[in-house]
Amino acid sequence: MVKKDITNLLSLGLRKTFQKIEIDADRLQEIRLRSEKPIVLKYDNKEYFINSQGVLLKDYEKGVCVSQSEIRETLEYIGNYSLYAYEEEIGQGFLTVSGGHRVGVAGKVIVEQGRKKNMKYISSINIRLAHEIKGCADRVLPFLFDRSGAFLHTLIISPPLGGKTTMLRDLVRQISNGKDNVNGLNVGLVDERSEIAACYLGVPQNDVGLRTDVLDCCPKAEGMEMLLRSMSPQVMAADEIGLEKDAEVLRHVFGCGCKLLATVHGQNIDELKKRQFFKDFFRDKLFERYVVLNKGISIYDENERRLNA
Amino acid sequence: MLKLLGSIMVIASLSGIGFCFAGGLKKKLELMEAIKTMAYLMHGNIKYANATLPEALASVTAKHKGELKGFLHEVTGILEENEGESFMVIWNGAIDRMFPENREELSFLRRLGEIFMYTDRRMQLSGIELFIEQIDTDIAELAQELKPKCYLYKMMGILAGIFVVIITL
Repeated sequence: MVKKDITNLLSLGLRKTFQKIEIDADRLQEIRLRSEKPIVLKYDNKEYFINSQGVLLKDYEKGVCVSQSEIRETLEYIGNYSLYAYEEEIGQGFLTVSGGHRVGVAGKVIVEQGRKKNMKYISSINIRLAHEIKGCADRVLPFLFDRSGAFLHTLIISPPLGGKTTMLRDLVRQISNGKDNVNGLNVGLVDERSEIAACYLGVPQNDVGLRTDVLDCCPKAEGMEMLLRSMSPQVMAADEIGLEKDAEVLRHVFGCGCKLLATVHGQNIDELKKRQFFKDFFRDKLFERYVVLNKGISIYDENERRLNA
Repeated sequence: MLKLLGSIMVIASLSGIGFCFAGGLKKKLELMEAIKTMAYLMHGNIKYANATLPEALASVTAKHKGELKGFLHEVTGILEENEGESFMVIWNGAIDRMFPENREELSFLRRLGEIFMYTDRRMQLSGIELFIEQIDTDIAELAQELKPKCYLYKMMGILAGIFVVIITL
């Protein structure tokens, strides 16, 4: 059955359909709702439609369609009856809801003085479900420490939906709690989109470890600066780096004795090397470990030598 | 003796009606002031904390001591449960349940609920500001009328009682 925190995001009519679905909720990845079009589910990396009895179908013709009023109602619940509070997020095209699930929206964009301000007449909703998988970093963690037990600057590389946020969350938890012979470290987590810790009213809903300080909904560059000054973390964690303004702060992090744990969208190391943003980092070998999540897990050192079999 | 007792009862009951009307007017003013206070607190929560409606209402519920506390508690609880009802259905439903008597001033509460439905933050805030201005004017008018009207209701009650007694004797 689909979990209640997910069905509660949907309109009453859609809730009834989703409550009938008999699936493993942990393998449900995406729910796509488009006005006057059938509901599309991404389940176990495959695409399905559903009928009114909650049966998964390959054929779209018998799939349940979503009306515009259901989209509106769903948005009301997603925005916690308060879409005004998510104006900035909706302007960017997505918002994060309780549980860390990311909801992408598309509709008519309102532009003010050449800048996108908000969105109206929303006709498409994509709910990407976050899954907290404790232990998914077990195989990776031993490679991220040197012989003296010190954590190494690490970059997780993966294409979209490759599981980098899930991996980052579990790494943060394990680094923070400590494991086997490794002592727990103070982790500063900048959770720009509330996807990692999934804070609700400031309290993390996901387990991010007992020594983790979370800066929720804060832009990465500003957040990292703030944490460095205020919480003196031993490890700084952030999701999806790559904006120009991040580069300067990252250099600051590299230079101040704090270790970095970050993720980035990409297929592999070679692809990243071509990006202007990463050129200097590769030249100076600032990252000491690369974890590539693409058809399996590959771990590389600063010289791009593969460490795991 | 019986006539005297009856006369006293008639005068007392009609005076009571007059006092009741005067009390209703005071209650109306109190509720309007409570709605205004709530609108102010909601405005602050939305403007400075960018709080969602359930968060803002929960915060206002904790601070509010007036007649609206029960109503706010009810709305906040239903919003947090998220059982699949639109905000206006929840808001108006709570008004009907918590204030079963049909009071004129409840229209202010219903109007405030409609303002909370705006999806644009600036529109939401200006809507609340305009609402506060309007209710402020109505409160001032009512406060001005309150004393003479209360006096009138009370006196009319007493005089009506005396009048009935005189014509029946």
